[in-house]
Amino acid sequence: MITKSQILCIFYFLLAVFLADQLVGSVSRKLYFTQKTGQSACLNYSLQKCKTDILIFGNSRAQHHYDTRVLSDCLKMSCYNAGIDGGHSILLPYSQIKVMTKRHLPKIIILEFRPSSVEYKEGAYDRLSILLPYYSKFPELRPIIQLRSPSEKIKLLSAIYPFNSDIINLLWFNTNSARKKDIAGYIPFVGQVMKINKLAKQSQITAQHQIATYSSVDTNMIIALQNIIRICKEKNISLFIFNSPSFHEFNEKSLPSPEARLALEIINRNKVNYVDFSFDSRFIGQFQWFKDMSHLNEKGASIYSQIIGELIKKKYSEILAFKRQR
Amino acid sequence: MAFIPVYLLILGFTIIIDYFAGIWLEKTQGKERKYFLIASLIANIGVLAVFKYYNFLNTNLSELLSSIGYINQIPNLSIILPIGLSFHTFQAMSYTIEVYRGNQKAERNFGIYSLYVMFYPQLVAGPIERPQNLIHQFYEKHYFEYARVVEGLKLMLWGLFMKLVIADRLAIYVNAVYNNADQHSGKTLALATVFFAFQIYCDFAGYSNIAIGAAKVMGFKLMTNFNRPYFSRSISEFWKRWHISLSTWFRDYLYISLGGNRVKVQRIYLNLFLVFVISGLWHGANWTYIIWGAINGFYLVFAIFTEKWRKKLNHVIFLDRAPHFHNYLQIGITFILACFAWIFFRANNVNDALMIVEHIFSFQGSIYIEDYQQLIYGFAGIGFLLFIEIMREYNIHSALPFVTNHRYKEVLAYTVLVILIMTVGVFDGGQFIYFQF
Repeated sequence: MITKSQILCIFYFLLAVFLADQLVGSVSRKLYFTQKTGQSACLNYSLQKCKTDILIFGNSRAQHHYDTRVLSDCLKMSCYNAGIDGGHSILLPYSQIKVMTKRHLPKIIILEFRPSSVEYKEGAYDRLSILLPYYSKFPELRPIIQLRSPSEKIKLLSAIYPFNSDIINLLWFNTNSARKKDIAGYIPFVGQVMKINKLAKQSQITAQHQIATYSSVDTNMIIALQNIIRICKEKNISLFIFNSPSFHEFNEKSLPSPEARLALEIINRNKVNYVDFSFDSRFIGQFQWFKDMSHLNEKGASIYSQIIGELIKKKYSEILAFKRQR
Repeated sequence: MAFIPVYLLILGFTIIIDYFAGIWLEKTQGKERKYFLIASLIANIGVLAVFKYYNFLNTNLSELLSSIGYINQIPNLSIILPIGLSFHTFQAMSYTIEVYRGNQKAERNFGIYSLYVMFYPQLVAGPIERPQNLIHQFYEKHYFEYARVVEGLKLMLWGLFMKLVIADRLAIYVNAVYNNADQHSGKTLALATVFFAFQIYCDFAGYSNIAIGAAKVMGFKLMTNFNRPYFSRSISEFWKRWHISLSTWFRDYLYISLGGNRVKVQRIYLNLFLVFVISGLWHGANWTYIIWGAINGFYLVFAIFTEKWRKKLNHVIFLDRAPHFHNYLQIGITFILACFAWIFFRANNVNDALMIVEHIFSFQGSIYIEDYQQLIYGFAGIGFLLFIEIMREYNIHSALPFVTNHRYKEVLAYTVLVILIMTVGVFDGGQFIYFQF
């Protein structure tokens, strides 16, 4: 049997947990929306305030590869980089585009996209956690956030949950400046890729082979890609999709997977401007332009931004001329 | 991880074989008993061999044959390793061996025997229970007992803390470094290796606490699986405190069967080494695990071989006159030795492991810090764990982290634990490492 004091003890425990959750949760919420720098401050700015002509979306390769200064200079338009570190799924750019285009229509959207990112990957939905603080603010994000797990609604009953693992950053970015300051969302990478030795190369090839063996298409990613294209068409925004350079010591390009081919088919069918720089000969083996295997450093990003700036300039003037003719 | 219903047949197959093997072992005498035992062991090991080791052996055979100019025509099987296969196979084997040895009566109730193999708190990652400890508990009546239920829940909460706040947090750094080992400095590799030592401990001991706690809530007592292993003063002691249910399994059923300590000293060395190599292989069909086992086997053999000399040396350098310092030194050395072995356990392959070993002692370059926040959480988690473990090791001697006579202080302590889990726990951290075994 349970005694009265035992029932009281359980009650006090549950009450203490509830009160502590509400207290820590509301302090975190307050701190979240007052951050001055950092990833969340950039996301907050891009979702609620940004009104530039060019918007860049994608993962860390978007954030670190598209130099907003170079693109602004080249295209004579204002530019903001809304790329999110670790955002490997296209669901994040889709969520951002969905919210932002309700408030402001940019002239150009640049999407950093690897066709292979439509393959099913465990953990691809994890980074959607960055949207959790906006669950109540933007109802249009709810179905996307709920893709994280079937129990997401229940987890969101906790006031702390949307700010899970963020407490140090919330304090840091409210009181201090960020370690890596952004330039209109763009964060340059400093440093250079290390030369890889033979053993490491062998294990990388093995790992790549293993990844390639077990993949299937993630229909949510395909739908997100289609929706991005649809929104841009409906709202008359010029969409440019790029797969930016990766570090390859040698040109060992293999055929795209069936899933990646499906994504490319959608892009081609919709006549979207798409350029794949992932095996661009200008970047292959250029140690001095890469921070690591997947990311350009500041120098590489500047060169790459210049290349795509020129490309967009040419294409965009053609688009404008075509529109004027019509 | 996926649920494949047809894989339940594997479990069903071993349960049926071992259930009948147990009864026949009890009924028969002489050589016939031995045959039944061997048949049961072959069935269990056979299932493991097919699902866990076939592709590994076949791939290695192909490589061996191709090096001498032949092509292996036998294809690999496209099968997924059922989770926890090694655990329930070993638990089933311990039943037939104990019946054979006369320490356990054959279980006539098929439902009870099935429950022994499939008891859900410990089905996928142990502790690997002995029939003498578990089967009789299924016959006992279990009543609701507030204190026991609360103790079980507290243990589960502490297990969750170890898993979500420490193990999964450290995993973020460890994975970032070990999955791109060639891109990191010696210092970074050393830090990631120390992190991994705590990650795997908190991951597995965390799971064990959850399993033991869940069983306790229902009124069942499972064996202790971890006893603060990083406070061990030798590798031999480490293995008495780490994954105790597996270590004792190998001791009781393999090491003793090979002759134990009753054979010549050279044979003891060989047996110890062999047992640890097999223990490595039990963890996974990969050369990294085999080498990890071999390193631990070597440590033990080396420790026995040099025991007299080390005692003399301690006397010469006055270590035996400073017992506290000597203790801490031994704990430090044991931890470093364990960490060195963990490199092979965690590395993606042998090439990576060798490269890490090559770089780790260079101490060149800076420490990789992608996100200060992760490191702060990681160090804070380890600090908190060590504080609790030191208290438990030298002071309170309890399975639970917070023990006090004041009820509301305990309520406060566990409230803080829940809030810490919610605030800094990693909720996307994936599965327990030992589920793969």
